Amino acid sequence: MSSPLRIAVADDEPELRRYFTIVLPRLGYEVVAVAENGRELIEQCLAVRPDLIISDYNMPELDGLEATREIASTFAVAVMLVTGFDDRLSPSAGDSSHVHAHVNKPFKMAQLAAGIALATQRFADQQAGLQSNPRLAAFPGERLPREPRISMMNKDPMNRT
Amino acid sequence: MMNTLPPPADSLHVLLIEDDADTQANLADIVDLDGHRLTAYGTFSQAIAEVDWQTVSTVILDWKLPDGSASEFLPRLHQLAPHAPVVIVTGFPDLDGAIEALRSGAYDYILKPVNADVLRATLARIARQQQTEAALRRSEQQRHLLAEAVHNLAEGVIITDADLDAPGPHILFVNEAVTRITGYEAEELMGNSPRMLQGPDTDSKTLHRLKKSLARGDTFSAELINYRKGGMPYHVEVLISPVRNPQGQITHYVAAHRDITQLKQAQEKSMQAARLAAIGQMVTGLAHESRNALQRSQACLEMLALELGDDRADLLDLVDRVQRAQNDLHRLYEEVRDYAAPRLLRREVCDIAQVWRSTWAHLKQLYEPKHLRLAETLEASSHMCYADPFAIGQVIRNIMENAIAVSPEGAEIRVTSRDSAVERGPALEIIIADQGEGIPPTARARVFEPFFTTKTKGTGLGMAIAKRIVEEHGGQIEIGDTDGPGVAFHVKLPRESP
Repeated sequence: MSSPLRIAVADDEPELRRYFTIVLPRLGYEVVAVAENGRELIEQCLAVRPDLIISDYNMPELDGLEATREIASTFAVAVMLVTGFDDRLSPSAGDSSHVHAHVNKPFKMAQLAAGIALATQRFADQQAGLQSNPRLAAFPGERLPREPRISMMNKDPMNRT
Repeated sequence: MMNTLPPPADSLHVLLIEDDADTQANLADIVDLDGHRLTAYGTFSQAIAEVDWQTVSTVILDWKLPDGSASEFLPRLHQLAPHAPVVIVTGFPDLDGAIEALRSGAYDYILKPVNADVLRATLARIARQQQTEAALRRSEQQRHLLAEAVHNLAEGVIITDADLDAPGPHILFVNEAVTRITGYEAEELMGNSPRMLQGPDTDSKTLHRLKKSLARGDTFSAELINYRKGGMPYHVEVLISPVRNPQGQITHYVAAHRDITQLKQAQEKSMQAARLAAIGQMVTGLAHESRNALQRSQACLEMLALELGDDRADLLDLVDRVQRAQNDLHRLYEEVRDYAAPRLLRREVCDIAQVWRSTWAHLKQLYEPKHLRLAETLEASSHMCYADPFAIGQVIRNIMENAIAVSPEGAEIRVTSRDSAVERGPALEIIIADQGEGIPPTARARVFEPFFTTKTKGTGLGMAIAKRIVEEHGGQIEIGDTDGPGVAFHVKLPRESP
């Protein structure tokens, strides 16, 4: 990898914003924008044009899904959403076809890394001409299949006591 | 009141068949004295033609009539008015004939000239007799009606004597419903005490109250658990009243039994459902908030660990302990949510064998250190079901995790599939059996209860969640025996195509 992946993060919790700025560089990424809500995220992203956006779903002003949708409509960007919602019940909150990975809260560094890898991979596939996952192109707005949802409960049984 | 006949009357409707006008007039006067009603005819054939026989309560018949003799008419009269006694009026010369008439069914005979007092006495006797007969008939009808009604009552009726001392009152009568509710034949209950229906879960305090109340002569009502023949318990609503003789002494008790088992079950089910719905709502909110809080805590823990670096192993150990405590808390939250929060099944046609195989593969880190093997016996015609593969995977994982935990080193976990059926129709049955030490029968019934656990670790929600998921699919989950000491979980999933 020549230059590190440039990431914009958004979360209304100060602990999480601080976490991203400390942890992401340790994982080899560059944090180019830190936003507290959807509006800020849009503003900053349009200015710095990151490679990947990691955004909380639930934020004041404008939520993460809408903000990233708006950004994705102006330039191509990988998107990963972080949510505390129950994935069994999450309301179909509109078009999420621009989202490349979902990560459930609470996540650990390992899940964060896995989510980033997944989002960038799927974004790259999409950019390569959409052939690798024609379903996504054919049915915009469809729920993403379950696999991209990263959750620490489902993936590593050894972590369970 | 259940009167089906007209009220008894002292007065009779007397049919007089007499060709002699003087005698007819004389008899009419006498009959009239006591207020009886009289209809008179000169010949039998005329009477036959005109009388409404239903209304006739007595016949006074002349021995010799222009169109024949009384002995000829008697059989016909008995046919026409079977309840009406026939009094023969005869002259002395025909006494032998009159006696013959008595033999062939006449009620009495009166000699001419008619003595008024004798006739009045005869009629009075007939009136009294008819009243008694009518009363008897009425009471017989009423008895029959009551017996039929009690017999066909949907509620069980038990009548006992009033002997409250051990071994308790004796059953003298049970209706049809009692045999249905209890499973005993009437003959098996007769002479025994209703206590034969009681058992370990019959509330002894209620029984004590029952005995005291009956001894006082009060009516008693309560809900009890009784036992059917064969030991199956049922819920019954009992209403027991004393029956007194005319002197006011209690001679019997009559008990109405209503089987409320189904009602109870329905009530419990709807209460349970309402409770779960309320908890579900609460837990959904709680889980969301807890995830955010856990995430903040998680972020801080990881930052702390990074700050500390490897040279502060003692402090890192503390961080690790906090992390593990937080993992436990997270798991608890998620399992409670899993159990209580409403679940949206995403059903599709899926291969259940594939589901258990991939579930097993995911558990490698658990079974490999113990060198456990999965042994399959595939007897089902197909392993396709219309089910939520993710949810069923969770069911199988919860069962397998338990099985792995209890298995001795090097043991087998056996999965058997076979065709089966549930209420909704054909089903696929999966049996997952372990070679562990088994679960005592008393604990087995509680395995699917939330927060029940035989392990020292774990929330005790795993099997409760499994049961909930299986039942949401319209299936069944049960615990059974293996040929060894271990247990076998039987999961039946309706096949159901979409």
